[in-house]
Amino acid sequence: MAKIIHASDFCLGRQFSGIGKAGDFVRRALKESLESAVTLALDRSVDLFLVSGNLFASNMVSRHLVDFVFQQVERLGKIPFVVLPGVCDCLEENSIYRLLSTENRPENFYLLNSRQAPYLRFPESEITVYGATSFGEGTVATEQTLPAKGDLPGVHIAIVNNPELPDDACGSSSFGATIDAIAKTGFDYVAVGGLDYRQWNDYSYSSGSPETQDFESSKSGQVLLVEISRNRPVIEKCRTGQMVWKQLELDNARFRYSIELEEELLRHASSETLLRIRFDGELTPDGYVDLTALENEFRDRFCCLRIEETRRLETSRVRVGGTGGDTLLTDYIYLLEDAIEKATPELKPRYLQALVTGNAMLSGKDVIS
Amino acid sequence: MKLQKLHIKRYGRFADFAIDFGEGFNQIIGDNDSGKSTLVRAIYTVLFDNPATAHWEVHHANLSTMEALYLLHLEYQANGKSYRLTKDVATEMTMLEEVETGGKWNTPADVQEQIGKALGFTEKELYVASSLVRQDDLAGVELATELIRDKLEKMLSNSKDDLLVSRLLQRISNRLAQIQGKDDGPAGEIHTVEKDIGEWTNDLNSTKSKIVELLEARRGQETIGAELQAVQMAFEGKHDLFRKSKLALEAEQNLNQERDTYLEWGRRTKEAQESKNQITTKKEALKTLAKIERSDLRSAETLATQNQLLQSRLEDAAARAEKEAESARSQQPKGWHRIVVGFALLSTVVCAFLWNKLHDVIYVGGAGAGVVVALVTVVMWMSALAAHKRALSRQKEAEARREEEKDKVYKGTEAVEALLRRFNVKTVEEMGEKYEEYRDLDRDIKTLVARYETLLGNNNLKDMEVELDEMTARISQQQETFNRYRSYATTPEKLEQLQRELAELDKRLHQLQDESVNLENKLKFLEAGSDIMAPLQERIEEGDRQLRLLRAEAETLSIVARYLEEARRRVLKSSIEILEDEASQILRRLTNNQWRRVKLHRHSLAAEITADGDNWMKSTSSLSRGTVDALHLALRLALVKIISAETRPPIILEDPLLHFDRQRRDCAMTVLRQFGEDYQVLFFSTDRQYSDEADRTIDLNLTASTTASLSPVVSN
Repeated sequence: MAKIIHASDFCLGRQFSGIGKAGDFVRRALKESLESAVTLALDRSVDLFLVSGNLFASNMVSRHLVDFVFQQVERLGKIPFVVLPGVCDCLEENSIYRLLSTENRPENFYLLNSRQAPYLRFPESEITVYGATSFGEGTVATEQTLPAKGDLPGVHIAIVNNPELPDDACGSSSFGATIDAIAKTGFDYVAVGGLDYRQWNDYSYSSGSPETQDFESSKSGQVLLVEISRNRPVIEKCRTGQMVWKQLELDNARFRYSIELEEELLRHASSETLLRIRFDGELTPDGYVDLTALENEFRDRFCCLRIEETRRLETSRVRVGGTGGDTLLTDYIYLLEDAIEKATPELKPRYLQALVTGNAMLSGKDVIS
Repeated sequence: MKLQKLHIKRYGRFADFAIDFGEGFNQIIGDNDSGKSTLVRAIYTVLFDNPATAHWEVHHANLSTMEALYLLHLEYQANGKSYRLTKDVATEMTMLEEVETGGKWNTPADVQEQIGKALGFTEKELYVASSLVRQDDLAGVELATELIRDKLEKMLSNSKDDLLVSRLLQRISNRLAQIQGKDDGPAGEIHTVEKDIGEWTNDLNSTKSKIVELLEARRGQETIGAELQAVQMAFEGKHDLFRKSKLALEAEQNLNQERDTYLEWGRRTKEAQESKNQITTKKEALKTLAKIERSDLRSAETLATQNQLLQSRLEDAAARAEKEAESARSQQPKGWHRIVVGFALLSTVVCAFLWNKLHDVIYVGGAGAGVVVALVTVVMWMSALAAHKRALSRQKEAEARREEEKDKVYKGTEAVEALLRRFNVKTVEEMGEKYEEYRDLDRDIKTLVARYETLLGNNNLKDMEVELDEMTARISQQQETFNRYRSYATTPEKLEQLQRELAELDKRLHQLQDESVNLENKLKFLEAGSDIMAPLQERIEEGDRQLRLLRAEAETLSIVARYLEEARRRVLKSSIEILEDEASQILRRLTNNQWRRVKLHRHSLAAEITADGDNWMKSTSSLSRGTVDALHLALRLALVKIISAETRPPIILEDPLLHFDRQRRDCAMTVLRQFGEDYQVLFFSTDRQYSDEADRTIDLNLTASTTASLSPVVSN
């Protein structure tokens, strides 16, 4: 029997999009997730620590990051730390794994280079690890052949970084086979990469990233503690992530006043939370909510706060008709509705916003502080 | 609102002055410098100024210090109530009191609010633009267009002040200035964000170029690393070879040295041992010999020598004694002396005799000769006797000496023999031999001892023997060492060659190490770049987002502003039309129907007029001064009617008809008197012509000094 930690897609040093300065916090959390995973490995006395791809977000990460990784690997002592280069940190000419001096590399750090050896063998624990390394652009799909399981005693684990997916930004890394096909060759466990946890079949799992990295990944923030025996592997999800990525779709109809939206925001507020709100529904001329002001006011309560306006204005429902009203407000609305109807698609959102803003201003709302 | 009484102190030329006003049309007549403008100003001041800040304003107005400390007291009626308003600069007091109820307001803000309600104006500029008509400020109405629009808007929309379009537009303008910046002011948020993005982009581009360098540096480091490793290995190998060769050479040298030392030491030890044995033997032998000192021998020899000498001297003395004896014997006087003497005497006698007898001189001579001979012989005999005596004496001495010498010889011989007996020798020669034997032996021993000690040095023989054993052991070790490195044995020349090669490798190693360190430092610098790429890109993205939001906000606000203006224009359109109508009516009356229609620009409220039957509108720039004044007067009066119809503030005019001709003046007075039916009109003028037509005429009699209390002359 063997006990391993299966982790994947740390993407250390990753650049994020759409979260501004929160990127620094998430990067730090990614590093801390590696620390947590190593601590877990030591606590649970595992035989192997395995990363099924994308330990680094790219091959241009800094030396400091590599030194940090090496420090964590050294903490494992004699527990092997096996890394399969993935699509992001592929083993190309400028790979981070190639270019840095190996003199500081811990002895228990192992890189799966399928061109040099088809597998790595660990006699003490009788674990053999197979993997098809990603070599970047120009990697021929046939190179990513199905690793053949050998006859050595003990446990056989296959590592797959990016299965069943076509070309990606880093170049070809797709296997010529599906996960099922791999599993059917008789590996005791197939460690698959990917940002989200997934059970492919009884023997194949994606661990998901140890720290959540976007709003769409809901099944990440953990590593897998896998006990491999003759029966099916037993999987335990162990939480390592700190950040909470939430996405809310709020309907304009629910929030007539800013204070209601404020209360909703406060419910989710925490320094580890990245919150994206899509403010949807039907926009009415008097439905003014200063989303920018709200975002500015509450941003310090979150790691990241984004409120996106996706409301739509049904001008036909709003039209007051006639030639205007007796008051400034009605005249204003009339004029703008007219302009909205005649506006080009590019300008229409501006006029819509102007309608709402002007309406709010004339109604005494604190539009401009 | 109707003003009833104004009491002023220390204001303008008035030290203490009171004036009562009546309802309707009040004409206040006064010559130049009579204080008309001062009174107008005083009304304005008491209604709008704040005593706490007044003295600064007054200084600005270039009045004297005395005038800065005014006290103004106004009694008025508004909305059916009576009020007393006091403003005292000296005590910075503002007080409004409602006479009937005793209600009081004593903060400037509260007082101003009440005044505003009474007048129908909170903005003094609007009051000045409408109801307060000063002779050189008729055109002031055109400067208050925004206020007028606000007032109209407020009237129409019942909006709060902060929701007036003008306020909203100001806020929008401020916000746009914040976003877009001003030409002569601080840069806007867009500019700031663009600048930040620019800096971050530059940093990012710089970082990207560093990334290229980084790749090259990493590759360079890999290459240097490999060469460094190879050179390191070569160096270590060669160094090991050098070390072992050197050890072998040293071991061989040490071994040889050790062996030489051992041989030398062994020789010395052996010699020491032999010396020791010889010394022992000789010492044993020495013990058997009598110790004859040199001094003893010398003594013996000396004695022997002395004895010999004495013997010799004895022999000499004996010989001498003999010789002296012989000499004495020989010197014994011979008888011949006697004979001779006798003969000589005889001869002498004879001769004498003969002479006597013969008186021959010969005989005298002979006698003399005989005498002489006798004398001589006597002398000779005497001397022979003396000589003999001396000889005898000498003989005696010589014999004494001989005896003495003999005695000495005897003693000497005795001493020598005693000495010889002491050392058990028979002769001095034997003693000498014995002495030499002892001496030689002793010398041998000393020599041996000296040699022995030289051989030992600071050691003793035992230590030397022990050292010899240790040397043996060391030699054995050295041999072992040498055997270990025998295969590396080399010559000194070859070792030198090896050392030179090692030095070359060391030099190359240091070069590579320096290059590696430099590269490492460069990498550290460059690596920092890759650390900041992601944050930079994120910040740029965030900046772009902010930029989009700001631009969208600016566009939106611009649209809002445009449409607010348009909405206001539409809303005010009717009000402006009413104002136009009213102003047109008044203008027709002021100009005796010469000018009939007033048209106001919808935005700027700039006025144009047209004459009867003429559709061509004329702006003020193409009108005469008198007509322009008439137009402005018409607008002001129209404004008063429209915007303060409920409160009906007092209309105060100060010589507004200066540029009116006689006819128009008459028309204007008629209009004003008609206004006096609904409003309190205070008409300040130098012209007494219309005083009879006023409801109340006040003649300012300012013939006394300004420090006296004055009361105007009033006629109703």
